[in-house]
Parts: sequence; C-alpha cells; structure tokens
Amino acid sequence: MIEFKSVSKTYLQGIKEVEVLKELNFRLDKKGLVAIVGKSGSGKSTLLSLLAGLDNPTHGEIHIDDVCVSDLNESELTKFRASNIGIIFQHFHLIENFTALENVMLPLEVTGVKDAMEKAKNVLATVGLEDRIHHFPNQLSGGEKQRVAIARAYVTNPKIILADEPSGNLDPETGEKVMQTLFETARELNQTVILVTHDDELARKCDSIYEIKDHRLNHVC
Amino acid sequence: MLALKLAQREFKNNFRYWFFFSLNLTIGLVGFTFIFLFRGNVTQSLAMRSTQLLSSDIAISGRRDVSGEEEKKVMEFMQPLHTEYSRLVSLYSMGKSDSKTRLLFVKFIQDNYPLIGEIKVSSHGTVNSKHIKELNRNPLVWISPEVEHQFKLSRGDRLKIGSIEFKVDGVIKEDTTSAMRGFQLAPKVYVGQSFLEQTELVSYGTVAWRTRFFNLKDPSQAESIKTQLNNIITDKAIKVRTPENASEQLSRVIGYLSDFLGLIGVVALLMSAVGISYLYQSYIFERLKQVGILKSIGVSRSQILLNFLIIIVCVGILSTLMTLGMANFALPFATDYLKEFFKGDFLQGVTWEVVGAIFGLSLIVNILTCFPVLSLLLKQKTTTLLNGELEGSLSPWLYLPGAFFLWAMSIWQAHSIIIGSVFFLALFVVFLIVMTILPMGLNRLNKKLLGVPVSRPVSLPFGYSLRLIARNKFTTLLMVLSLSIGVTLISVIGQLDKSLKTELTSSKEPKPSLFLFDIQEEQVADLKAFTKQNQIPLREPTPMIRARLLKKNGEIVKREEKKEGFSTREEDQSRRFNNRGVNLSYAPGLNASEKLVEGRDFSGTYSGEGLAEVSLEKRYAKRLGVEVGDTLTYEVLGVEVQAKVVNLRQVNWTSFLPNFFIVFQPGVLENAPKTFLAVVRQISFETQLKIQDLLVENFSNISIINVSEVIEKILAMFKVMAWAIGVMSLCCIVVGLFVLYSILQSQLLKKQKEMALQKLMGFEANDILKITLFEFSFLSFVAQFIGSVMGIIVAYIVSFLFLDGVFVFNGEFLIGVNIALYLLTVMTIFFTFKLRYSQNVNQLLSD
Repeated sequence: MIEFKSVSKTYLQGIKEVEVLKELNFRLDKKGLVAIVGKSGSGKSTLLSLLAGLDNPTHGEIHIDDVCVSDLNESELTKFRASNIGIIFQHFHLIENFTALENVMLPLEVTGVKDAMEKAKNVLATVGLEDRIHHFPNQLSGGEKQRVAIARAYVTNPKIILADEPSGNLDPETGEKVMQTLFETARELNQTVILVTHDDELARKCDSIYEIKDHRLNHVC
Repeated sequence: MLALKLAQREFKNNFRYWFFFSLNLTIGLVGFTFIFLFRGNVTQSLAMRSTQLLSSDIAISGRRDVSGEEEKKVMEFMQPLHTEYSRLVSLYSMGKSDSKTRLLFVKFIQDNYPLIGEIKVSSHGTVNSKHIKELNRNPLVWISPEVEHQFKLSRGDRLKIGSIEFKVDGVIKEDTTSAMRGFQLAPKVYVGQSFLEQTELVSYGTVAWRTRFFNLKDPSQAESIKTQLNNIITDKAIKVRTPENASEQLSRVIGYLSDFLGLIGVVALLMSAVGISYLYQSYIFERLKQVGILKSIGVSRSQILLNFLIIIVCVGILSTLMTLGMANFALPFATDYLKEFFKGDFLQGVTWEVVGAIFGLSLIVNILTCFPVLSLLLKQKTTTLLNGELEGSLSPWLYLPGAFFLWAMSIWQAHSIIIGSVFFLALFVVFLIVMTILPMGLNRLNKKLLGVPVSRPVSLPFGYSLRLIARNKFTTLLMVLSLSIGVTLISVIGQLDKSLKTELTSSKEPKPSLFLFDIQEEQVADLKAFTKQNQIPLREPTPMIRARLLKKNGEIVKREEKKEGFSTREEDQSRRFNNRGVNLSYAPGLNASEKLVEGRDFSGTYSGEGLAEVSLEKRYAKRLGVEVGDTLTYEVLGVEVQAKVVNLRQVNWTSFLPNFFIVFQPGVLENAPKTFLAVVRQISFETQLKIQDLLVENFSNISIINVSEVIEKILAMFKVMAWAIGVMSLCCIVVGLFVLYSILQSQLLKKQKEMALQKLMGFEANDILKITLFEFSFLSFVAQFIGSVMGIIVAYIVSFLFLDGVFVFNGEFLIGVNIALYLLTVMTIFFTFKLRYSQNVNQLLSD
C-alpha cells in the first residue's frame, strides 16, 4: 500500500516560492505497473523523489505499507530504502569502476545478504546479461547499461520499483526491449513499479495511469 | 569573439566555482610570495650587512698604494660613476701609554668614513663627519674596549702611536665596518688621516693597507665596474672588492643559508606548480561534456582552445591580483614582526620581480602543464566527449616544454645548476615510480578482485575502496603523483632543516674567551709554562704560516674574474677559491673539532724524501677542485713547497677553535717564519680581565682579543639564521599542506555523484565515509611512503654536495609530517563529507 496524505511540496527559486505539488492525495493498494504522466516540470520527478524518501514534503505524510516515510530519520530511511525501494534512472547511474556483477551485487552486500553473488548472477541472467557480468559500464551499450540498472533495482526484491524515464536515453528499439525486460521482470516477481514517463504508448502498457496536472495527481485509467 | 563570449558566460554562470578556484590558487600563491619575499629580504638584509662591512659600494685596497699613473686612470674612470669617495689607511703599530706598550691595529680615517654603516663611540654616540673632522684636526683617538682595558685608559688619557701622542676621545661601542669581518690580529683604534705623516709610521717597507672607498651612482653596477677596475689595475696585490666579496668573510655560513633559501624557493615554486596544474587539469576533465557539446554545435577547435586559454589567463590574472592584494595587506604585519630579527633592514615589498614571478607561475606554468591535456582533448571525437570520456593517452613528450621551464626556473631560484637539477631528477624518479611500478601493482590488484564479492577482502567499505583504487587508475596515479611530489619536497626541507641547524649550532665544545695572536716561536714554551703556573686554561698554541697557492697538479693557478650577468653559485665558488692567499699550519693529526672523511692519517714526521703530506678541509678541497692524491704547490715567503693531499677533513667551525683549511704534516714548515695563535677557553668575565692583565704584563708583544662578545654575536646571528630557516621551512610546509588540501578537496567534490549512488543503494553515511577514508588513506600512505623515501634521498644528496656532507636524519620531522599529512587527509575528508553529503542525493535525481 502506498498513500500520499495532503502532500504539498514547494521549492525556493531565488526569492520566489514555487509550488510543485499541492494537497496531493493518492492511495495505491494493489501491486502492479503504475504510470505517472505529465508535462515537463509538472512535478513527476519530485513525486518520485518524495516516494523514495530522497526529499521531504513541505506538508503532509507519505506512507508505504505501515511506515510513514516522511517521519523516518536519515539512517532509518537509508535502511528502509535499501530493502523496500529500487530505483532506475534515465541516465543509468552505474558505478563506473565496478563490473556489471559488482554493480548488481552491491545492494545485496550492503544489506548483508549471504549468497549475494549467486543472486546477482541470476538476476543478470533474467535481464539477459549472463555473458556480460565482468564487463565495466564503459564496455556496455546503453541498453545493456540500463538492463544492469534494472537488475540492480530488482536484486533486493524490493516492494516498489521507481523508474524515472528509463527508456528516455535509449533509441526506440532498445528502449522497447528494455521496457519489456522491466515489465516482464516486474510481473514475474510480482512487484509494484511506478514509472514516470512522457510516452503515452508506454504508459498504456501499464495497469493504471495517473496524470499530474495543475499540481495535482489525477487517475486517468 | 565567440571564445571570449564563452569564457565570459563561464565566469558569469559559475561565479562561485571560479571564485573558490581562484581563492585556492591565491592561497597557494600567497604562500609562495611570502617565501619569495622573505628570501628576498633575508638576501637583501645580508647584502646590506655586506655593504656595511665593506663600508661602501666598491673598494680598492692593497698592501701597496696605487701608483700615480694607476690612480689617475682609476679616478678618471670612477669620476662619472661615483657619488662619494673616501680613503683609509690601516696598519699594525705599537701603542704606548705611560706604563704599557702593545700592538694596535690603527685605522687612519677621513671625514666621511664610513660611506655606508656607522661607528658608535662612548663620548659622541653615532659619529658624524663633524666628529671625524675633529679627529683630523686634533690628535684624538677612539679606542676599542680591549685597548681601554689593556692600557687602563680613560677619556683624556694619552696614547702614543708612532711619533704622535693622541688623547683618548672615546671608546668604540659599535662598528658596523668590522663587526663581522673576523678577527684582526690586534685591538683597533681610530685616528684622523691627517696625522698619518706625522706619526712617521708609513715609511719604505712598512706594511700598511690602503683602501679607497667609492659609493656608486648605480650600486647594481658594482660587479661590472669591478671587472673594469681589475683591467685598469692588473697587479694582484691590489684587490677590488664589492659588498659581495666583503661577505665572503662570512661566505660559508651565508652560503649555507643562501643555498637553503634557494632550495626553499624551488620547493615553493614546485609545490605551487603541482597544486595549480592539478586544479587546472581537474577543471579540464570536468568540462569534457561541455567541450563535446561545443564541438557538436560547430564551434571550431581553435575557438575551444582559445576559450580555455582565456579562462586560464583570466583566472591567472585574478589570482595574481588577489595574491598581490593579500601580500600587500599582510606584509606590513609580517614586516613589523621580522624587523625584530633584521634590525630594520626588512625593506623589500612586492617588487616587479615578485609580480613577474607570480604572474609567470600562474600563467606560463598553467599553460604549459595544461597543454598536453588540452591537445588530447582537442583530438577527441565529439561522441566520446559527450559521454564524458577520453580516448587515447597523454604523450609524456608533451610535458617536456613545461618540464624544461620548471627546470630553468629551479636553477634560477636555486642559483645552482646542481641543486636545481638534483631536485628535478628526484621529481622525475618519483614520476617514473608512480607511472611505471604503481600501474603494474594496480593491474595485479584488479585481476585479483575480479569475480570476488565487493565485501571482500576484509569488509564492504574496504573491498569497495580497493576496487576504486585499482580501477580508477588515472585519479589514483594523478593523486599519488601530486601527493608524493608534495611529500618529497616537504621531506627534503624538513631533513635539510635539521642538518643545517645542526651544522650551525651543534658544537658542544666550550667556546673560547680570549684569542692570542702574534705569539713568537721563542715565546711558546714560556707562555705554556706561565699559563700552567697561573692556571690559565690555554689550549696548545697553533702555528700559522702565510702562503700563496701557486700550482694545482703542476698547473699554475690563474686568477679568475667574475663574468658579467648571471652566474651560478658553483662558478662563483670556483672563482673565489682559486684566488685565495692562504694561511698554512702543521699538526701531527686531527684536533677535537675535526673529523677525517677521506684518505688516511699523516704517515708521521716528514722525512725529507718525496712529497710532503697535506690535509685539506673537505669543502675547501671540493671548491678548489682537488682530491686525495692530487699535488699542490705553495709559495711560503719565496720558497716553493710541494705537497700531496693525503686526506680530507671535516671541520666543525662553530667550535671557534683555531682551524685551518690547509694543514701540513710535521717536519715541513717548522723552519718557515711563523707566528702562533692560541685560545683561552671559556672563562668568566672577571677571570678574563685578570688573565688579560697577567698576559699583558708578562708578554707585552702578544695581542689579546676578547672574543667572547664577538662569538656571542656570531652565535646570535646563527640563531637568527636557524630561526629564519625554521620560519621559511614552516611557510613552505604550510603552502605544501594547503596544496595537498586543495587536491583532496577537488577529488572529494568529484565523488559526490558516487556518494549519492552509494546512499541510494543503502549505504549508511558512516560506511560511505569509511569507503572514502580507506581510499584516500591508502593513496595518502603510498604517496607519503614514496615521498618520504625520496625526500630523504634528495636531502642526503644535497647535504653531501653542499653542506659538507653533514646529514642528520630528522626522524621526528618524518613522523610528525606524516602524521600531520594523514590527519589533514582525514580531516579534509571528514569536513568535506559532512558539508556535501546531505546535499548531493537530490542533485543526482534532478540530473
């Protein structure tokens, strides 16, 4: 369960206060694929960062299951995020000096999982990279990098995967393949994926679609 | 112009970045400037003291007076060049009071003596031309404190010198013209030159020194004028001296300091260069994507290059201005403090030379060191740059212009080809170690880590940091290189600092209180018996024979003239030492302040067959270009004496015992005309007076100089020098630490993105801090190890070459500086981490 209760977020731009999200209420009970669409600057990424606990709301509360994320301190948030949330970025954000295997293995090792290497190898095989595990990011293509990022997000089996325009930096064909990997893995592992995207066609492949408009989140379908 | 507009936008959009960048650069440059200025002021202060010793800008002196023809030529030549002129005649003569007769050093002076410097007399204070006119009008004499005591004279008493009876007018309290000129053979008195003839002391065959002093319109021309004067007066018996030559009396000590100041200048220069080039290179690597974008929108390579150059020049100018502003602001405070030590001589402010050096450093060095990276950057494909990557590697040849420039600057700063080159060679060795051995080690480490969980070996933070070290080769090598060069330079300073201080102040021997000169051969036995009977702590008298070096290995030693313009210290030393008249002595072996460093002891008393054996002071031998086994020929009062060098000695000069550069074995010089000198060991002031009285009564011809005050003055000067060395070393170390701090800061700022990623993956803040700490600690440790070892090696070589081989290992410094550097590393990481950590995750998402 994910719940936003009267969440508002304002930023200061110089001396001007900019309201990005306003009195946002939203509840998601079922697992599945959720798309959040909206124009550029509408607040999609802000919503995602609030959900990931990377930023605090100006007003309101955010709950994931029984935990009020906005009440957690820095250390609690880090632990909560490590075991409950996986994040996929548009620009991959892999650790350049680590191999694909090490990048995927790392979140497991942080939480002290014992057979981290085996699990990481399995997930990499799921995304079709079993023969690239010892390659460094600069030896991988864009699509491969994003698949490593997907594997890294999934490897801890988090409750929620947050994906910020994951195919935005890829060509259409590669992007489609990557998204297919993302969706298939989510369904296979029965996980909730919250996908921020501009792409209406991609959004339509999700189980539900929400749109951010005029600082509010509206259920489209 | 597009490049200018781009640079303008860069400054406008990233003002804070560039301000911080300039500030970093500025602080490094301020340190350099202070060292540069400090060195300049110390040198100037010493030069001023040298000028006071000489008491003019240039002096012509000799045992004989210049002939009428020579004088005419000299005066014609000097007429348009000088502002003031004075003459001095000095000689040894017996002085006689009602009850005593003793040898005196009499100086006949003219109204305007000294042209530079001052004399203080008890009755007048600082004397002026009015007082000296009086001295020339009436038979008055100013006496030194020794004369006052030995003759029991008071103001108004009579002292007969030659045929004239002078009235004591005052006691000399201070005299800059001879304070540091070494010991004269008898106590000094001043009388008017107008009485020279009447004293009837100057007659045919009398030894008198005649000196003509000139103050020049342009004192900087002294050396070239000297050369021309030497062409006019070709007789070697007449010497032309400049303040530089006057300071040769102190040349060994000042030479040490000067060499060391040169070294610190080089270190400051290189430290600044390392820091600045690192900062600029980091900047260029941060701008790869931006360059890719510019290229992709059609901006030409030359425009991009120009854009970078404009930025480098602007930052250089900004930093130079900020540095000059800061230096001008802080200099008065520093000056006030340093005046205490330099007695008002600390005059030099920010000169054009300093401005030029800072500007040159910030611009030329930057351009030369950034040039290789820029050239690689401009060769890149646009797509590679857009990915923020670089293909290919830097050609080491491209660094050659920068390396040559720094090498030349090092020689210029050190005034020595050898010192400059030794430093450069050491840095090159560091470069080779870091660029060849370290990459091999990193490759092996990387292979071992592949396929191993990140949490191994040891722990997750440790395993993580090891991977960063092994795989982020460019950063690892650049950082270790910069740090190890920095540590090498700091270590050199620390190690040399102790060696030099030890050399200057180490003597544990009790210092002498009285020096006895002119002891005749037949008096030696009586003197020894007398002193024993009266319990006077007299050391064994030492013989002294005046001689001149004629040949080295059979070749006649030629008089060398100083060439015009820049000359290195090595050339100056060679010239100086080849022109010397010398004092010889003989002894069966070494005394307490000497140590054999090469060769063997004397074989015993000279048998008369084969060559005589001679021992040389090591530094003297080196500068003379003589080794063990070489032969030297001396002229001792017309007789040639040929000798073979059998050993080299190291002398602790600060023992103030009678030591000689050249000591013969017994049996060679015993029959030569000679006098003896002896010292009375340190005793209380009251005992000194008592002993003086006893000696004066029993050995009236022996000259006694009370040296305790002079020795105290010299030791005090050594302490000031040691203090100066300490301050300059500290300045240099502070600059070095700041440069290292800047390097660490710059590295940490680059790691922000990775820290954010670590946080997202569930790393606790403490773990991220540990990873960073492990990584930098390892790099710091490797750099400190390489730097410390190289620093010790360089210090040893420099000590061997320039400090008489005196190398004292400074363990405390080594440990202290390494702890300080490590603490600096940890603290920089800790504070930067605390400052940046909480801000960076959101930046990542908005990226």
